[in-house]
Amino acid sequence: MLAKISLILIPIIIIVAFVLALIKKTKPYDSFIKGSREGLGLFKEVFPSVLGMLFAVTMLKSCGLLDDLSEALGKVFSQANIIADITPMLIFRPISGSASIATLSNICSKGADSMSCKIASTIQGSTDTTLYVLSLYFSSVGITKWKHALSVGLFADAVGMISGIVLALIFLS
Amino acid sequence: MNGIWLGISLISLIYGLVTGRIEVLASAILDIPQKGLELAVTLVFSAVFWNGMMCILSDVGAIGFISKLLRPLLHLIMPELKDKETIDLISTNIAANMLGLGFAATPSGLKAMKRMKQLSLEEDNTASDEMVTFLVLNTAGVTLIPTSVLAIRQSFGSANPADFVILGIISTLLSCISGLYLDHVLKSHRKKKRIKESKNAS
Repeated sequence: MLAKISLILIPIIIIVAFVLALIKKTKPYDSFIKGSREGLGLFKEVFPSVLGMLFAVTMLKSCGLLDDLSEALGKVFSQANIIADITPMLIFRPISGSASIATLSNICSKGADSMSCKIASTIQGSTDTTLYVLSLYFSSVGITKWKHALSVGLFADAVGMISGIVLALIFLS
Repeated sequence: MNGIWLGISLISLIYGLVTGRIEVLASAILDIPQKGLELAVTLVFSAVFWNGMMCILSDVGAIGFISKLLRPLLHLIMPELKDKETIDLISTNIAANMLGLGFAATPSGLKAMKRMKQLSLEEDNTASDEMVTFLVLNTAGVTLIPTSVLAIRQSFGSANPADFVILGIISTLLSCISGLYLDHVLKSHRKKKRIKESKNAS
């Protein structure tokens, strides 16, 4: 049910955009071209950080540490492979957007409809990169004492990730 | 970031070396440029497309409209914030983030920080309470369509790549509310402490 609503959401947003453009008599095609041109500039920015983070993430995955962890956990939990898949996601999500995207891509390459991929997608969709946002915004105005911003941000991330896992397990399995 | 990158890579490499997985690691390293290019292409091309679509929305004034809707809510969350310009900038930032328009979100967010710094009574290098609350809102902010995740799942052939979207929105809201709550608790705790200290001093 929720999965269906999610799918419908995408064309609906586009329909809303088109209808509004019709009512307000803007030029939607010109807007589209303008917006996509802005997006195109992203490649130079995105590629190096994706590549760098993909290296760290791939090393973590290929070195077998997570497989061994999964095996050890398997003696206790029945779904140990999901736990091992998700662990790097939990580590990387608050730290780096590129790293968590690279992790997500790694997980989903093994099965785009696997439980691990669904959980990781929900986690990725549920929070922003706290550490990046805080350092970007605070450093822009020369602030070095963050007060309780980091602890609150990480707490919010933890809540988002836990609820993401729980909700995905309930509604998507 | 440098320390984390180095730490994770080095630990993994040494672990792989010790447990005899060096060949797996070697071939994984050689795969990285190709995989990185594929991932970056997937991400950027979907960003190009969605940025175009969302630009239609922003050109009809959707950011302004959503930010107007957000203002009473913002007043509820940050009652001590009276400056109209800051409120406008913050609501614009959150509205643009909701639509996934980073290009529009970041500048208004940075301007909001600048404005709050001007109004701040704290020391020069210390965050004000308003800044902290704003950033909690920002880092836990809702994005209606997480386009990069959709693009990745689509590229690996998912049957319904969007199945998680509503769940993501729900957990974002939960995360945001609990972040704001903790922020509120810590803020009032600090205020009480300050009042006590000033009483003791006098």
